[in-house]
Amino acid sequence: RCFVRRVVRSPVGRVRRMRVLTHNFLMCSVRGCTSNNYPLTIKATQVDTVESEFNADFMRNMIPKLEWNALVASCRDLGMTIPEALPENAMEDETFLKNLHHVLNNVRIQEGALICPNCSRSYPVSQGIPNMLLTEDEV
Amino acid sequence: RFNPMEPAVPTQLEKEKVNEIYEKIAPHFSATRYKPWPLVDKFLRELPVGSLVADVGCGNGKYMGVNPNALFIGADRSANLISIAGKKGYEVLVADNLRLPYCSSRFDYVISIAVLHHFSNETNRIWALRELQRIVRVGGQVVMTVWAFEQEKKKYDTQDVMIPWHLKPQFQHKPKLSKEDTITKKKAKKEKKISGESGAALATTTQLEAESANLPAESKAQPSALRELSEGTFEVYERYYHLFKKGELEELITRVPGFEVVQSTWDADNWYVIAKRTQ
Repeated sequence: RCFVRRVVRSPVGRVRRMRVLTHNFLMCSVRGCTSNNYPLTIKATQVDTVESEFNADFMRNMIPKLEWNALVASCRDLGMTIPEALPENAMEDETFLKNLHHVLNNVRIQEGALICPNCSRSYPVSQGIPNMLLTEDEV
Repeated sequence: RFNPMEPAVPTQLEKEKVNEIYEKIAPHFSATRYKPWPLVDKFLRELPVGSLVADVGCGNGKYMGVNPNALFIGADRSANLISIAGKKGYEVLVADNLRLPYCSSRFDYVISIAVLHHFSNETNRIWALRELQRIVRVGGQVVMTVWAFEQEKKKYDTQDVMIPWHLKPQFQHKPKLSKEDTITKKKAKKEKKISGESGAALATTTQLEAESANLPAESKAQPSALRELSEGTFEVYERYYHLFKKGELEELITRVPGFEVVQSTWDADNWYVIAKRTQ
């Protein structure tokens, strides 16, 4: 049976978003910024934690799609630590998968910025939504 | 002539008649976009658990909750539509199809639903396609839908058309009138419509009918638009569309290296095309 992943809303009723998982796929796309433009540095001013349902199969299928080094860096930016390298028995270790699930899916960057380590372009994150639109000069 | 060295930017037409319009009509537009299209719905429901899907031009996030076992990341140029999608709890960001902030070759699937027909020249259409191909992994599939030139009820003369959007009064940004003013204004509008303006009213109705005929089946479930015509003032916004002829999207795909058409179907006034990244 498939789990339905639900986001549990805070008592205030506001939705918390921008998963660490999403950050793993984002890079700087300013014209000419083609090296050292990933991962973006996270400067968060508000980080929230939610609960969501854990699905082991989902995690196992997602792991190969991640850039592990970028994940380590993003955790460091957020004051969390994860293993520097993916453990060998990761796929079978349910505790590991649950911890990873928490990091990827439950930690939400609500306010702050994503900064390119190469060109220093700062992409704002507001209400958990990154604005990655470039200006005409940057394109 | 398509020049791969020249980065694509939105044209003036796209800025004024697509991007800005969606920002203005976002809540109303979102209210009419709630029913996923059967072909796309079916495709998404059959994806493997843990699939990573990029919804490029996700709008109000209509498709992002169809398969809860896949991770969707949505991008749209309209901050207002993204805000609506975000409130549903989806992972979304504001970005342009012509310059996506995603690393290359990471996504299992990409969907581009009713987006490519908003680009006003071939260069931008090809650039948009190149971006879709770039972000999907090798072997991954991109599902696209665009409005067709060949439609069941309407015969178009040209491919580049302006389709009106009638913004309902409750979705308009207007300074608040006093109750008296509102009644006077509505009376004046009614009288205007009955007397000399009947020609214009007819044209508007025809446009509405034309619009509802052109939209995919899911949007036809809003007949109230016609009834409300006499109940208040509609602001009309024209949106730019390039209607695709049979084979046209497929031909553009061949101009993108490492991109091949897998399937092509006409359905409910739209072309539904699936392409695969081959290298």
